[in-house]
Amino acid sequence: MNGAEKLNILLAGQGDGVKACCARYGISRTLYYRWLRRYESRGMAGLEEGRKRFCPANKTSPELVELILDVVRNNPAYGPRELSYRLQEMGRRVGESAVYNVLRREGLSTRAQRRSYVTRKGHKALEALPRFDGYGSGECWLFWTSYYGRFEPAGDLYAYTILDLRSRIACTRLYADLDIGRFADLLEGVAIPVARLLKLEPKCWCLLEAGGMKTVGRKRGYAELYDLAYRHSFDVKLHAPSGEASPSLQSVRQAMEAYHRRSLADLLPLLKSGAALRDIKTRLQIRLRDYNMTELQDFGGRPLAPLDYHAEATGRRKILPVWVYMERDY
Amino acid sequence: MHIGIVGGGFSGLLAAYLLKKRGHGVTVYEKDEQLGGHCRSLIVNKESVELGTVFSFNDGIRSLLLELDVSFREQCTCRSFIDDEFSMVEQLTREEVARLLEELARFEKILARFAPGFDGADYGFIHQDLLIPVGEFLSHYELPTIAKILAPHLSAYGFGAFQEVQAYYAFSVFKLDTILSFLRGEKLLFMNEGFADLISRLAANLADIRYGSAVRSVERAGDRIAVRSDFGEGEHDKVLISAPLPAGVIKDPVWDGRMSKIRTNPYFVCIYETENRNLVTSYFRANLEKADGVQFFHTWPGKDGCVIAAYAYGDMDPSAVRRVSDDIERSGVSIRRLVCAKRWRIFPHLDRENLTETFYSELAADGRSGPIGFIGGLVAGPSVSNLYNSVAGFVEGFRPAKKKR
Repeated sequence: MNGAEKLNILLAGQGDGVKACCARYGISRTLYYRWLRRYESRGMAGLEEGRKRFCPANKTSPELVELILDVVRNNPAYGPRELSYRLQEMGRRVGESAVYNVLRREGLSTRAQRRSYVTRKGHKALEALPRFDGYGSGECWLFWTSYYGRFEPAGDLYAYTILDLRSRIACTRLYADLDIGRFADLLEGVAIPVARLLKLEPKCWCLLEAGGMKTVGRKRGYAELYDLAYRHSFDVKLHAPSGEASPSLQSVRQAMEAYHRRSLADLLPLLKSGAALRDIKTRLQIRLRDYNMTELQDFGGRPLAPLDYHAEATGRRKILPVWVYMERDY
Repeated sequence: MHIGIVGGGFSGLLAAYLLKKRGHGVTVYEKDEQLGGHCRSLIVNKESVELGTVFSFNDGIRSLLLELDVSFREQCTCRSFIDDEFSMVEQLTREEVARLLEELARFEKILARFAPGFDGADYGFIHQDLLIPVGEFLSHYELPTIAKILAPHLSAYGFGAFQEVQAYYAFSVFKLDTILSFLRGEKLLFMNEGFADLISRLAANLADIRYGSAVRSVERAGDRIAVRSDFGEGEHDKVLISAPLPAGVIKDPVWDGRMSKIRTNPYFVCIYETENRNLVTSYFRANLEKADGVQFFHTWPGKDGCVIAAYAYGDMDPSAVRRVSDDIERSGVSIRRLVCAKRWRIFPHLDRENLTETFYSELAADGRSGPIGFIGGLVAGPSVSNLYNSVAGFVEGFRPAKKKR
């Protein structure tokens, strides 16, 4: 659990009672007050630091893991020794045991597993995050959810967001539960149609903070996302780090926070105002239309709207589906 | 009751299946050696691709698919529009959408005046004002933006020219909900193994299907109806006709008169394998209402290139197919090979001289009470989901058969 989620729980506890809140989130009151104490003494920093995990200094770098997986993709029959030789030919010295450890962590230690990893449309997400700096406009999409609390009569509300890292084109929808399938809905309903007309060509989808999602059905969810990508002729790799925030996540957190500040800032007050959920969803759609189409942001010194930035960066015409100008229920 | 069904397409087989479930005996007569009619799928580059002209919305029919254990998916179709210079353009601009929303609100009120005609899945009573061409109707009510979105779709799906198709047909096929659903980019239903899968699952539940039996006569024999085909005959308590028959086959003058008024449009489909990986379903604005120019193509994914099905209006001959290929290549698609070209006749309808206010309502009433009836595409708009609602509604009117002791 990350700091923001802990804070959400703390706030919920202040609102509707610590006992009920703890029961709902399945934590003990001891833990609740421990977090509260840390928050009061050190603010967000107190909540951020999680369990200290031992991480060996010589752990294989994410970039090397990615390379090993690439070799596996091309040679699923190779075992650790052959893979190690192959890597040596490519000029990377990686020991057999290091390769084996990577394969084990990725669930690819048997030949059958590697075969199915290659032949199936894919159902497995990569544990490591990619190096974010190598992607152009439209190529690296960030997926995350944020919990907004419990509202009557809608119940729990989560905002699901997909943001293209480079162009900052983004969409958000509100749902009442945590399920990777909701991302499939958001992709199919909004992100993919727009992407296909604008000719965005995603290469990597990063499910950030997937830790909050239920583990049950996660595999099915990944398969659903891969299937969607295939149906729309996208060649994407899915990344879903499950552990603690990795350092490369910090580099995109800024982009995520900037998006929240810009376009979701008035969501919470709106939710608290008790407006009907349908109206809130409509307001959100209008808000995001402005965000993507008209509001100027700073792109390396040039003020542009995200859609215009993408059109300029890729030299493609700005063509959108009709429904972006309409209000839609979902 | 024993019922003969003429036509082994989706509607015919569905009617047979539903009637059999109610305990009636059924016989299906299919003129080809294979079932399915327009529900025909090909395997191209490992994907199931539709050769026919079928599409389905997301209502009603789901229960049937679950019942038959057909594997399906819901998927949004992205549409792009291609202009005279073969480059992509927006379907409507932002200003046009604003006008469209205003027009749709007005349009809803106008349609409400003619409401009884649009109640069910079937064509019904037709208000006189709706017998005029849709183009004329929309310009009379000053709805130019609706015209702009409706015209390409009418043309693309082979319903014909905007200045010819009667307003009634246009608004039955493109009901307000349908227009909105297209605009909102809502999901359509696709069968994972193709619509042919649905057909074979329906057929698997039927006992008496006569293949390659083009029906030569349907006539009264006492209080029963005799159906004669090339290779045999059968007697039934009632005969349901789901496909156009040549004039003179039905020996009843009233029903034969009705059948001989029904026209269909020529239409053809070309399936291609392409080199392109990321193609979007595209409509060719420049070819609007032009015979044998490509109207639009639909796409299926493939590992090393999409498969596309291109649809054109008119008679199919080698030069028409070549023109379709040329237009597609000009829009930036690189064709690897033509997989199949197939001619269809679609959209059974009446032309202006023959269509009257009560044609369909009388036909429906007679079909329910008498020994002969028309079903499926002859009496209802074309989507598979609409045909499902139409046929299921028709079969509801049958009393379940009494159980034999």
